Amino acid sequence: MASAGSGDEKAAAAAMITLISSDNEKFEVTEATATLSQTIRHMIEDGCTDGGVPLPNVTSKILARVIEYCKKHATAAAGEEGSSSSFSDAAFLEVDRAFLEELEEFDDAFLEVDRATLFDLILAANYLDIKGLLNLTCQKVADSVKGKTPEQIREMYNIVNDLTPEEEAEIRRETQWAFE
Amino acid sequence: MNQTSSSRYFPNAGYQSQTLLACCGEGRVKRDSTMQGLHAQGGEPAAKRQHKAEAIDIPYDVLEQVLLCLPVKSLMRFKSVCKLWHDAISSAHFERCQLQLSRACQPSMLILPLRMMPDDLRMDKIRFFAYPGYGTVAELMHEKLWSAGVDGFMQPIHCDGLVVVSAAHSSQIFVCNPATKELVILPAGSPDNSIGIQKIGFGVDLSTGKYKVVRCFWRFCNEDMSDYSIGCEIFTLGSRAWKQVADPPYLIQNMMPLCLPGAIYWSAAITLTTQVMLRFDLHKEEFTTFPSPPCMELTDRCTSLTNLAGNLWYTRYTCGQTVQLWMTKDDGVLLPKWLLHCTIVLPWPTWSMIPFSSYEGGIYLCLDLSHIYRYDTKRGALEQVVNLNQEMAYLHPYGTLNPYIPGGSDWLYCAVEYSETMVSIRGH
Repeated sequence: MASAGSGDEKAAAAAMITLISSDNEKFEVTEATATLSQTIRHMIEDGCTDGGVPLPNVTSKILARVIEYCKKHATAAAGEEGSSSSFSDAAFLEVDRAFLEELEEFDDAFLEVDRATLFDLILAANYLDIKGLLNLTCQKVADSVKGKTPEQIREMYNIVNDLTPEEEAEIRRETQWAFE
Repeated sequence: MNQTSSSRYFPNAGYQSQTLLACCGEGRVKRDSTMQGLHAQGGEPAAKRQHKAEAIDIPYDVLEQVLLCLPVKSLMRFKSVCKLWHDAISSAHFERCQLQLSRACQPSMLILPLRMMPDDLRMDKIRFFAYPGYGTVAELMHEKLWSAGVDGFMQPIHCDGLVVVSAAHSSQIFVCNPATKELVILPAGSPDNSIGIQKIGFGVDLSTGKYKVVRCFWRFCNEDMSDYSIGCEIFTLGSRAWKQVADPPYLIQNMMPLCLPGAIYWSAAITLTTQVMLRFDLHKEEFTTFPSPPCMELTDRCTSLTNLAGNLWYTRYTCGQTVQLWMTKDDGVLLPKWLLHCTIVLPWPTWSMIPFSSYEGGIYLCLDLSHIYRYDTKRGALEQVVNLNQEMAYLHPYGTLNPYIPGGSDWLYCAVEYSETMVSIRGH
């Protein structure tokens, strides 16, 4: 049993979901954590989660990271709901700001992974439909390529240039300024 | 859970056998097929892919997600990576997604130097500098040399990454997307016999996605405004000519109109002393009356109508250095009601004050076309962001420009809210 120390007994006891990785490892998470995945949210709404949710495309290594992300951000989402009614209150704004900063630090640390893991996270986020995680990981990849030349991109990702020399020359002519 | 429900909830479940960010040789997939089913590489033997250890398989929509995080300049460069990337970046679908993101993001700013040459009021070039809204550095985005000359222009109008620049006292109008460097000069419209400035609006018809430049022009008008004729014409981007529409019901004035997506709001005169606001619907292409601010003055040239964060704002000088900012919404539900939002005391008695952007609780003002100030709406405090003449460094590929000459004449600048997009001017 994971996540017993959450404090709020009612919430913890109310709904736990079991996720099963491709290598058959079981992860027990709260509903609040699991429903950051739109896909799982729909399954819960339809009552399709009894006996666990098999995720044949996600390894235990990646699933553990994804759950780590969801736990952190589920807490954030709960915090936002709690404070939204007193949005104008300066004290709450301060708390929000501190929390957002902490969340940003968490995200930065979370992204300190090798490229293969990063792409596995992207695929898992896409598969599970976790918008925040997908944006975060895609932005990380984009940041790592945005200053590169097409040649460097091909090199980095082993892409074969299938444009004919004429096509490439034409595209280059139209976009020459972007190379300066 | 059975297989049927699994595939129902995981529409992308087959992704392991699909293509890739790396569209390596045999694995390249045409966009149409990947968009629908994402099952292009299904039959490929695992052994065949093993030698491409570095190639990372990702579905087309994920490639698109990554590309959507990139600035336009990188996208333009990456069109020559391979066919898949070229087609992905050039697709109409991608342009639409990119536009949606741009509309949702926090805007940035453009600074357009407006040098009034002493002899003929013309400039030999137009420059767009990108400015993040803080700090003292602006970077050149686009520069267009113009041998025939750029006439002194008015406050440019921004919509979805397109900027309309129109001359104050000639019929010159052009549209530019500084991110893609596309620039189109519009043909001259009907002659305008008013004494004042050009009357130009610009916005998007939200139901068709068409961008329209709207121009009002006086055919004639007598001194007490009792006898006049005024026309209105539209240039839809992508078309070839101006198209006249029904005349405005009242005499459109010199105040710059307020441009929102979907509609343009003009100040108009009923008589010499009574004024009204007119709303021009960009889809129906017709005028209706709109409630005007209770204090709207026709003659004061320092007043302005502006769009801040999708709301309508009216700026009015009360006396000397004090201005009032009035605000209303046009959500089509309630009858719009103008409310006094705040009163600001300016640092000096300015001759020009244009609120041009608003985000994160701040209203950005351009004072005397030379300073950007930020008004913090929560604290009610006005603070200088940058002195456009003396503080700002204008980065140019050929070195930093410093147009300021101590003791010499100052330059003037227009500051415009801006969000970059790939929207094509001719493509519409």
